[in-house]
Order: sequence, then C-alpha cells, then structure tokens
Amino acid sequence: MSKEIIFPAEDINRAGGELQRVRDFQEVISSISKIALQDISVPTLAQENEPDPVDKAKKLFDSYGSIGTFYLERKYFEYMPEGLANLSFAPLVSRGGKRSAHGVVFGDLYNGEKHSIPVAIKPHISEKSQDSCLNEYFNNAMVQFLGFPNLESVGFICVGPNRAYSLTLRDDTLTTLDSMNWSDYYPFNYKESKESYYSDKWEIWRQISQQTAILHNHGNRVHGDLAVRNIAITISGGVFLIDWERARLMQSEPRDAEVRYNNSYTDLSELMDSICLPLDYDARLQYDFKAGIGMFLGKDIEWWKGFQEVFFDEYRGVREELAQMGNHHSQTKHDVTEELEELEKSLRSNMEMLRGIYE
Amino acid sequence: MIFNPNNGGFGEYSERKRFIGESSPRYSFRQAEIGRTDQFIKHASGMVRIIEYAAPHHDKTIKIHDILSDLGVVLGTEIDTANEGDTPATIAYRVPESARPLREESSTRASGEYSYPDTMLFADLGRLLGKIRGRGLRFDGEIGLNVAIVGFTKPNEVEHRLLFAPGAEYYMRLKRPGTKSRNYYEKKLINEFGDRFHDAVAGFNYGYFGGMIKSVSENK
Repeated sequence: MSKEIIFPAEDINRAGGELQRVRDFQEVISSISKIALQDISVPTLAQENEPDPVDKAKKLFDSYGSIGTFYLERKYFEYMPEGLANLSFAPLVSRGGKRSAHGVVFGDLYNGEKHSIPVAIKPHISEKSQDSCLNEYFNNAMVQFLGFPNLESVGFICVGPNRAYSLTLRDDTLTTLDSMNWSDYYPFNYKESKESYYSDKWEIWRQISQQTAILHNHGNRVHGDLAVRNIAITISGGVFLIDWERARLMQSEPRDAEVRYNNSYTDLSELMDSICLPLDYDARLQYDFKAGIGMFLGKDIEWWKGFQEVFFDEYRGVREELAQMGNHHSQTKHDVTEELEELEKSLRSNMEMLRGIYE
Repeated sequence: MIFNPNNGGFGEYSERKRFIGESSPRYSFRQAEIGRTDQFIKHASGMVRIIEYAAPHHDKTIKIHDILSDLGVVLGTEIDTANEGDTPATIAYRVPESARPLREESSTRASGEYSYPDTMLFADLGRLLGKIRGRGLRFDGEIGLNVAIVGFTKPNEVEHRLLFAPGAEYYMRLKRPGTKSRNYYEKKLINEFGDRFHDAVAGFNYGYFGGMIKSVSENK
C-alpha cells in the first residue's frame, strides 16, 4: 500500500477553490445552448472616432444576446466538429497562473475524443463579470489591431451578469515573469559580467521597457494592470504584455500632460510595486493580494537605481526618442517632457516608501 | 548527422534542417561542459525542441545512460541518430517545449488540485533521486540545471513532472549498493535552494524514501 501525504488547501484566490472553479466550468460547458462564431471586426470599428471602439463593439455584442452562448473564434470552429455534443474540459497541473486573483486554470477543451483545443480558462466571478470578460475580449482584439503581440483568444462564455469565462489558447512555450527566479539577479551585473545569465535577463527588461514606452507614446493608452504576472516570456526570449482586461485604448489624443502622466503613472507604479514586493503569500495577504518578484529584497543595492537600470532609463530614453520623431507638435513634445519629469519624481517617492516597508 | 527516418516521423534533418534558435535562458539546459545545446527547429509537424549533447565514451557513463533510460527518468524521447554499427558523436532528445530548468523557477506555495507548489515539487525531486538511488546512482552535478520541470502535466502523470535533463549521466556516480546519500542531497539542496528547500524538507524525505505525495483534499 502506498504511503501518502495530503497537504491542506491553501487557496486564497478570490474566485474560490481550484477544484470548484474547474467543476463550475465543466458544468457551464455542459449547459451551453449554442455556439456563435465571432464576427465582430475591431479594425472596422476602429476607423470610427469616439466613443472608443471597445464600447461600440460591446453594444454590437449586446444585440447578439449572450447568456448560455459560447462565442468561439471562427478559426477554432474546425476543432469542434461535434458541435455542443461531448464538450468537456480536462484540467492540467501546472505552476502558472497561480498569482492571478482570477485563478486561471489550464487544460484541454475536448470535443469528442479526437478533437481538442489547448486552453487557459480565466473565470470572471464578481459583480459585472460579464463586463470584465467583454472588456478583455474586445481589448484583446483592439491590442491585436494596434499591432501588439498578445495571447490568442479562443472565445468567451457569458453565463450571466456575474459569471463569465475568457478562453485563450494555451501556449506551452510561454511563462510569465513572476514564475522566474530573480533571487540571484543583480541589475548592474550585466555590464561587467561576461556571463550570458545577466545580459540575457537584462534583455528581457529592455524589451519590456520598449514595449511599455511604445504603448504610452500615444498618451491616451494604458494597460491598466501592468504587473510582472502579466508579462509573458517566450521560449525564444521574446516578451509581451498580456491580460488587457483593464486597459483603456483610446483613439483620441490626450488633452494635456496631466492625462499623459495619469496613464503612464497607473502602469509604471503597478509595475514597480510588482518588481519590489516579495513573492510569498503572507506578504500578498497584507498588501491587497498583490505579490511581486522581490527583485531587490535582501540585496545590497539602491532600489531606485536598480529600477532605473532594469526599466526606467530605457523606458524614458525610448519615450523621448519617440516624442522627437514624426510630426508631433511642439506642445506634445513639451507635454511628454513634463510627464516624464513628474513620473520620475512620483516613482522615486513610491520607491522610497516600498523600500521603507520591505527592506 | 542523419536522423533515423523511422523514428517518430522525425525524419532526416541534417542538410535540410531549418535552425530557428537557441532556447531562452528561462528554458535553456545549455551547458558547454558536456557540449549540451538546447534549440528549437522548424519541422513539418511544427516547432520541435531538441536537446543534444556529446555522446559519452567512458564505459561507466554509458552504463549510467542506459540505467537512466531503463528507469524512464530522462526528459523527452531519445532520437536514434546513428546508422547501424556507427558510434554517434552526439545524443539528441526531442523534449517537451514547456520543460524548464529547476533553478530558473520561482517559489510558489499556491496549492489546489491542479497546482504544483514547492512542497510537491521537492517531494517529486526526492522521489526522482530516490529512484536512481535504488540502482546505486548518486547525482553530483547542479540539480537546478540538470533537473527539468515540465510545464503542464495531467493530474495522474506524477512521474512526468520532474525528470533529468538529457546528459545528466555525466554528473552521476555509481555507488556501492546501500550507500546512503540523503544527507549529501540535503546539504546540496540547501546550498542550491536555501530556504525554499528548508520549508519543503519533510516532503523531500518522504519522496526520497518512496512515499507518494497527494495534493489537496478539496474533493474529499
């Protein structure tokens, strides 16, 4: 007879226990009444001006009717030859997605025995869940339209106003930045060290800085949840931002430097928090469920300089360069300069606070 | 190098192989010391990840390679690279795309039926090292770079979650039957993983001596 240890559940995700989430989802897919293929075209919508295209797309969606429908991307229809018959979900064991407040689960969506789609399931279980699911879906389409790399959407299911599920294609060659071990990483070593360990890891941060700078260059676009858990890294070393549920991707130019600042500050303060906050659960409970990678913890380095080294210097350099390019008005260039100066002041001050709490 | 065309449909790739690139440091098992490379190449069936290393020539290392293959504790599937009668210069494995070295993995305590927290990870590591102990082997190399974690596994695939990276035989020694290595591993793991291992030492011991770790009892 085999010996066994049973570890107690330590599940603090707001979306409830993991097993329960999987069971709920399995129940939901067994009760879906129809499959609707997605035809909403964001590029078409984006040609129109305000209000922003996501709002317009959501209105279109409302006219389709929602409850009990599996909205499936057209290209995945061939993996569903049996329609709603024999639709099932087989979860997989992994270390990913565990720091998400939503409680993402990974697995395979089966249609019969022979056809399956590898998926990541993100439950939206709170008030106005349907809105957050739709926001995410349409933001993803908008992100794709704007040319940013992103996870591939498979579709979504709205069960009711307070429960919905986003489905993205599971990519086994992706992990998120918070799943990496940063305890041995010193931000300054890449310059002196000949070890590729440091330069390769710095390259990851260089890409994050550049992509964030490109996103913020517009002035009226914000990711909205730019934490390390929402930065994906590929097997080839590519990096991109994921989880755009809270993004605001406006078409219109920002009114002034203050609007620019508010947008970029929202993202960068969140990113800085997640770089500095410790990894462990206790800290997460104390700090509004947030967790980080504790990059500077226990290391003899100046935190602000470390942040400059891994992120801010490159970010600022790219922002300034982009502001000088193209046909920007002199007012825009002035606004960007003002925005970046204010941003640096605020972030420096935040960093002092974080260091005071955690060092 | 010619791959055996009858091996898993992989076919010949020497002249026609299309090199895509090295795996990134998050995933890579690259190790110059044993000529180990970690690359992904394009193949008719899609992207294929290959780990290749210099074939051992020392009799003992070859024997250890065979023992590991026999135990089924090596990541991926070995590709037959030699024509009959030839001694291959390298050994190649086709490995899961999601496999990553343990040393690059951050700590996690999140638990649930489909989670894989550190407690279970170190228990599996104990089981893996206990398994080679049964055949008189001790691993002397860097565990963090020579043990692979597979990104996604089915709930019943406990034995597929942690495996030795191809080429790990270079860092193993044949010991006298009955040689005790647990204390050796404990020191080694504290050195490599510090507090993370301290917190999981009970699970490690349990796995090492043949216990099975079960996850959460939510459904009980």
